[in-house]
Order: sequence, then structure tokens, then C-alpha cells
Amino acid sequence: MPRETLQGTLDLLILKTLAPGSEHGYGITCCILNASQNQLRVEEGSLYPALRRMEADGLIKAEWRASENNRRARYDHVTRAGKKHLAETVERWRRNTAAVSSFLDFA
Amino acid sequence: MLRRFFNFFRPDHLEAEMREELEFHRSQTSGSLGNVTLIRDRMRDASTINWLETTWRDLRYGIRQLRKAPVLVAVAMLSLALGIGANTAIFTLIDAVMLQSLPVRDPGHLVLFNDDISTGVYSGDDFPSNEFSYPSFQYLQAHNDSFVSLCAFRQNTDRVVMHIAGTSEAGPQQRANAHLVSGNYFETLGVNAALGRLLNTSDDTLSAARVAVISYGFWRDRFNLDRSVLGRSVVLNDVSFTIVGVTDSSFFGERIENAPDFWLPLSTQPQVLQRDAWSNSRAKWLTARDVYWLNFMGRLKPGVSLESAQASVNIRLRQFYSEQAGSQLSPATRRKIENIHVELKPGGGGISGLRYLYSKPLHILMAVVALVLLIACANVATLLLARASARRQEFLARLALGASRTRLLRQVLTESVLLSVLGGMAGAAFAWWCVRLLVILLHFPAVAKVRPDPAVLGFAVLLSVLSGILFGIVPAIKFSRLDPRPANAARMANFGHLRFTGQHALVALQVALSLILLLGAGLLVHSLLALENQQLGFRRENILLVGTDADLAGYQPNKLFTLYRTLDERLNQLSGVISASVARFAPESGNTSYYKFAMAGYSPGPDKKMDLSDLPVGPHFFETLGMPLLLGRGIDARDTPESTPVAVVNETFVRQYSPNQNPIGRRISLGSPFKEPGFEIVGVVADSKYHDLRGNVQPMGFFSIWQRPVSGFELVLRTSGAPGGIASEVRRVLDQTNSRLPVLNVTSLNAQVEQSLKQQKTITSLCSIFGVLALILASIGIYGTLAYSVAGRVSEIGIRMAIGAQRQNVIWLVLRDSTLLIAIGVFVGLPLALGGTRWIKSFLFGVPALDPLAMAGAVLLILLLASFAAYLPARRAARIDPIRALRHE
Repeated sequence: MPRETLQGTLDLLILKTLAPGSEHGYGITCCILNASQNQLRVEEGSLYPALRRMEADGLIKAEWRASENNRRARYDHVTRAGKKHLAETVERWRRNTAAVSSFLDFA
Repeated sequence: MLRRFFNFFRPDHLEAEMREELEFHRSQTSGSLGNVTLIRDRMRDASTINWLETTWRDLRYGIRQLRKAPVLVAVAMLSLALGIGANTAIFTLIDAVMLQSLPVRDPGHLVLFNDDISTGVYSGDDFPSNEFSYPSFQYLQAHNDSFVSLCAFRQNTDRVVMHIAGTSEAGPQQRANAHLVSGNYFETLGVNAALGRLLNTSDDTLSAARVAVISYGFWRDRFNLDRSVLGRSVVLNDVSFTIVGVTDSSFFGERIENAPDFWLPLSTQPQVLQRDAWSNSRAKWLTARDVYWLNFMGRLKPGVSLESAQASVNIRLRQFYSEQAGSQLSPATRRKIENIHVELKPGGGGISGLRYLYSKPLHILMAVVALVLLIACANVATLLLARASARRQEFLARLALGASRTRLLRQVLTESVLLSVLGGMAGAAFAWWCVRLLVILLHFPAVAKVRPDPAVLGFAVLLSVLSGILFGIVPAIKFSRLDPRPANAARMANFGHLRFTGQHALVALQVALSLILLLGAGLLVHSLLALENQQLGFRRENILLVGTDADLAGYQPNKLFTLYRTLDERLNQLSGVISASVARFAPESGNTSYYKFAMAGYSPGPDKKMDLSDLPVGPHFFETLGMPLLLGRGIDARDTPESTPVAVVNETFVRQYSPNQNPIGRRISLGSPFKEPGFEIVGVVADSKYHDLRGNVQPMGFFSIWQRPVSGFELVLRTSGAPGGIASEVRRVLDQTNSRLPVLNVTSLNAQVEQSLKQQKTITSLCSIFGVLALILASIGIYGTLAYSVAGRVSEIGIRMAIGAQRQNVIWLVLRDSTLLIAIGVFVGLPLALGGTRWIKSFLFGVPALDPLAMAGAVLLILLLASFAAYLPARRAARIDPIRALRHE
């Protein structure tokens, strides 16, 4: 996935992925890859700093737990502020894409 | 945000967590992650507060850099410690003298009608703007536009004889300070009672029971904080009062000094002050229209400014005086009333003698030390710039590697602020020592609460950071302008002629600022010499002064004559005493008494001031002090209470009031108009600077103390040996005459003169010290700059010498630059310095503001020391060995 598209939407993808429950960093990349039918590939170099930033901003919260294969892993989940942020971002995304599509159809 | 903040303090924990998280990811993918370090860096940035982290890194780096240059750090810290320390010390004193508020509710809204420390009573035809009558207080209260409340108090505290009921009469009479205040005084100021109640308006009526409020200190010292003090009665000047309350422990009156023990209602004035009255007029102050004895303090209504209150007060006062004069309003009086101008002053700080005495010297010193700090900053900046050349390679490398210019700017500023904070800490220690020294040097009384408080601390911190930015900004800008491209970098190497850079401007600035300080110091030194060497009009050597007060020994006025005569006989018989006399005030004591006077057969012009400085003296007075008589005779033993009242006047008196006429035989009276019989002028004495060393000579009248007795007086004795040697004899005479006569102070006239010059001397020596300090700092600056420039020009000088330049050519090459800088400094500094001298005008005596001696001295001193500072590097340049210099390249 090209960097410039990712820049604005990475937070959205992460929040959406984490919305049902908690997941570790590797799981998030897999999840996004699968859900987008191998279209969106998140780089580790972008993902981990983003997770840190969103944690510092209070959108997600992290805890250390045992993973499926019994290794210690850091699981993130969405906070209440994160849920609110997600709803707003999704809403804005829909509006913007709808606007751009209608413009493209018209032109 | 909070988490980021905590992460800053536990970087190890953060690092471990990040490593584990990435490790887990790698284990899942079994592939490579790419640049793990970069990922970690970016994670770290996202998890902590970036600027806090970088500042911390800058600080550590700065400390390492500073440790590499111990000499620079030592010189810079010393300069800054001196600058910041001196500023903090002076500010501490200013804070203690001028910024402290009265411990009352909301002091910011209080205004005073007069914040001068003058005390006393005026009675006459003028309408003084600093003292007020009781009827005018009543009028202003009735026509009050601007104040929540307005109170009045006597423009003085009174010493009263006190007797506390239930204690014994034995021993010397007990005295206390009483302060007459209007009933709403405490309510206006907003003072609380520690015990009982304070005065209120119903206490301040003629029919009210006489009550008194005592101070907390008095309650503690006299009554041991006994709560049963309420209701006790105390007799003040033979009038009985009931104690109803004690003021708050922090309250000491509206005057900073001279705290009252008692506060009494104004309405008790006729009873309380009667006993002390040598003249009868005092008894009727409450109704008298022309006795001005009160000062007012008001609490402004919310939203009313001091200016608008002042305007309305002046209108009301003019109305009052016009109404009071009624139909007798003469054109002259009308003009006087129209000219009434009362200036309201902020009252929150109370009336402070300290402020009055020290505000001027302290402001001058503050300006002086501010200049010293500026010079110190310029000095440190020059040093840093010199070092900048050594670090140019480092910064070029950093720029080339992609550091942003703002980042470099921050690094440099961090280092300079670090340096100044270090200097500031050393300065704080220096300040503490300095304050204690200044308190001694300036003779600060103990009442001043000199201590470091938050304001002082804040001031020091602010000063440190500001000066760090101030001296850091020039090197910082220089660094940020560096060009990392190789071609340009080479061009910026120092070669060829000196360009006028920031560094040179700083040197010229230091010279200019030092010149200001040196010229000021020079003027003060010259003034001090003029003051010390002037003709006083009497001989100040071998005069002993001993103060006493007959009132404290219980003398009634009519018994004083006998006392004077006994003392005159006994003192003049003492061996070692050439001549002895008494006077109401000692010479150069600063105490004076002025009277409006009238002369029989003399009608003054409309604007002629008929004021006389009045001094009762005993027989032999003029011989004792060595004041030459020009006409007639002096005061002598013929002038007893029964004989004709006489006066001796000075030359200035004759010049002003009897210019073309023999004054002998004319009669004057104290008070106007002339009252029979008056005092007959029997002699004229030469002018003298009797009361103080600075002012012009005023018309003076000397009277016989036998005819105008006063209870407090000074013995004046001319001794054959050192004055101190006879002091115990004089004490013995006083003791024999009456064992209750106190010896108030013993000094010599020389010491008295020295004492009156002490403040001037202190200011002069402090300014001189700071001036020399500034000069030394400036010299270090010049030396540093030239040494650095010589170091950068070694190869150039080597080439010059190789092709035949002589030693003196090389020396001149270096000196030429510095001479130019010093000349620029002098030319910029001189007009500034001359403009600045008007700030110290009141400390100048007998020297013109354009004093050629001081100017020449200051300029010469600067040229001398600056040239010396420049010569050292020049000589080193001349010693350069051309062969080694070229090989060095």
C-alpha cells in the first residue's frame, strides 16, 4: 500500500480491526491483509510507531498477555475515546469518499 | 500526555518493552523486519515528549562541552555570579524597602494624602498640601466622593508619660508612643483585633469614654499576653484610658518605623497633648482652622482611580477653604486657595522612612548593577564567540549531516542558559553575602525585613535565564549562519582584515558601558571631595557633643534655667575643656526647626518668604564652635529670662531682610504678624553650614536658650585633647547635677560630619567598585577578542614577518583594531554617560554635570587599561616565529 494513502487511514484501519476485541501487532497486520483481500499491507515500520502514538493519545490501551502459542505478546484494545474517534472517522471517510465518487461519476 | 511524561523518566523500561514487542512480531513472521532501529526510534518518539527528551540530551551534551573548557566556565561563572549576585542583592533591598505592603486587608486600594516622613504641625496663613486641619477632615468626610472610608491621624507619634494602674511609681518615668487616630482608622485600613475590639467612630467623640487600643508588641512585653488586660486602665499624660483591645500581631501602624504602643481617638487630643505644650495654642487643635496637624488615608471605592480621587479631593478642599474664609476672602487668599494641589499617593506601603532615605540610592545602585550585568553578559558572549571558532568544525559537520539550523540554535542556547543558571546559582550565594554587607554599609535599620522571598528568588531565576539568552543569542546566530559547503566554509576562515562583527560590537559596547559607570563614579568621588573639603563656617576639630533630655528627668519648664546655668558653670570648669556651651540641635545632626517670623518695621513683599531656621543656644556658643562674630555680640550670660529677649542672626539673614541697614537693634518675633516685645538683634555671625553639608545657607536666628528653654538639648564642648577623653568627665557632671539626666548620645563633631557623609561615601565607593569591576570585565573582553583574533591570524602574521614586517608593524597591526574598538566605545559611551549623570544629580555637590576632571579621569583610565589588555596579545603576535608559523599551516 502506497505510503500517502496509508498516512491518513492507518489509524482508521487499526481502530476498526481492534473494535471487536484486543489483538497484537502481528495479528493486526494479518487481519488488515485478509479483510482487504491482500490489497492493504501495513508495514511494521508504520504500524508500531502508530500504535505507540495512539496509545499516548488515549485511543487504545495495551496489556501483555499470553498469545495463542503461549508466548508473551502485547495486546491492544480500543478505549472509549478510541470508539468515539472511530465512529467519527468512519463517518468522515464515508462522506468524503461518497463526495469524491459522485464527483468522478459526474465528470 | 501523562504517559509520555512518565516514559521520559523510565527509558529503560520503554526500551525493553519495545524490543520484546518487535521480537514477538519477528517470531510470528519468521521474516526480516527491516530497519529495526529506525522503527524503535519512531516508536520512542511517539511514546515520549519529544522536546523534553531532546532538551535533556542537549543538557547532557552541554555539560560535557562545558567540562571541556574549565577556564571559560570559570571566567563566565565569575562574571555572571558577580552580575547576577549584585543585581539580586540590590533587588532584595529594594524589595525590603519599597515593595512590602502594610499587613492590612487589600492594601492596593489605600491612598495617602501625604507619604512623606515629615512630622509636625503647621500653623499659619498658607494652605499646606501635606498637612491638614481637623475641620477639613470633617468637611471631606461629609463630601466624600471617592472613598469607601476616609480616616485621619496625627502626622506624628507622641511620646507620652505612662502610668499603668496597679504598678509602683518608683524608678524613672515610663514613656510610651501614642498615636492619635480618627475613630474609623482601623476600619479604613482593614486591621483585625488580636484581642477585644479596635476603635470605632463612637469612641471618637468629646463625650465618649476614653478608650485606648494597644499594640501586640506592647501587650506581649508589658502584659505578658495576659487576656485580663482588657478593661485595665492606664494613665497617659495624666489622662486615664481604658484598654479595649489589642491589634493584630503583624500590624505596626501606617508608619514603617516608630511603631505606636497606643492608639487613641483624635477627640482626646486636648487632654493628651496638653502637658507637652510649651505654647498654649495646641489645646484647640480639634476646632482650630489654621492648625494643620493631620494626615489622611482613604480606601478607594471600587472602580475609582487614584487620579480621579485626587481631582475630586482637590476640588473639595478648595471649596472647603473658600467656605471657611467666607466673606473675609481676600484676593491673595483666593489665589492661594486656587493653587492648592494635593497629590494622592498609593498608601498600601504605608509611610516609610526607609523608602524615603534609601529609594534614591537603591535605584542608582540598581541601575549600576544592571549595567555591570550587561557588561558581564557581553563579556561572556565574547568568550563564547571566541570559542565558537574552535567549535566551527563540529557545527559544520552537524549541519552537513542534516541537523536543522533551529536545532543547532537550540543546542547553543541550551548551553548558554546552562552556563547562566550555573552563574545564577553562584550569584545567589554571592547575593546573600552581598546583602549582609550592604545592610551594614548602608546602615539599614533592623526594622527592614531584609530576606530572600519568592519575589527575590523569581527575580534571580528570571535574570539568569534572560542573561543566558542575552549572551547566547549572538553566538547562536553566528552558528546558524554557518555554511557547510566546503568552498564557503573555507572562505569563512579568519584571514585578512578585521571585519566589524558582532564580537567587535560587543567589545565596543563593554567599553561604552564601563565608561558610563566610571564617569558616574568619578563624579561621585569628586563630589565627596568637594563636600569634605568645603568651608563649614566653624571648626570641626576637637568638639565633643553630648545629648540629654531634661524632660526625661522630670524637669518642669520653669526649672530649666537653673539647670542650664549649673551645667554652664560646671562644664566650663572642667580641665581639658577650653569652652563649653549648649544648643538645641547639634551641628550636622540634620535636625532643624523653622519658624515663620516677622520683623518690626519691615513689610515683606508679597512673595517674600519670611522663614527662619531657629536655634536656641547657651552662652559661649560661638566661641566654642569658632564661628566668627561680624557685628555686635554673641549670646552670653547677660541673657537671662528676666532681661530683654535677644537674637543673633547670620549673614544670609542680613542680606535678605536688612540689606542696606545695620540690623543691630531691630526686633523680630517668631510667628506673624509681629508680636511685642520680640527679640532684639544684638549680633551678626558669619554664615555656616550648621544643619547639613549640602543645602544652601538659610537665614538663621540664634536665641538664648535661657530665654527660650527647651527640654532636649546638646552639650557642645571644645576640648584641648581628643574629644573622647573628656566624655566620662561630662557624664559625671551630668550625674552630679541630676542623677536622672540621661546621656542620649556621645559623639565628636568630626564623627558627626563623617556620619552625615556616610551614605554618600557608601554610594561613592560602591559605584567606584562596580566601575572598576566593569573595567576589568571589559578588559577581559578586549583581551579575549584580540587573543582569539591573533590565534586565527598566526599564518598571516607569519607571512608578513617572513616578507619583512618588523615587530612594531605587527604590534601596530593588532593594536590598530583594538584602538578603533576602544575609540568607538568611548565616542558612544561619553554622550550616554553625560545623559545618565542627571540621574545622580541629587548626589552631586559642588561639581558641574560636565565635570572635565571626572570625564578626563574616566576616559584616561579606560584607555590605559584597555590598551594594556590589547597590548598583551599584540606582543604575543610580535613574538610569532615566522618559520614555525608557516610550518604550522
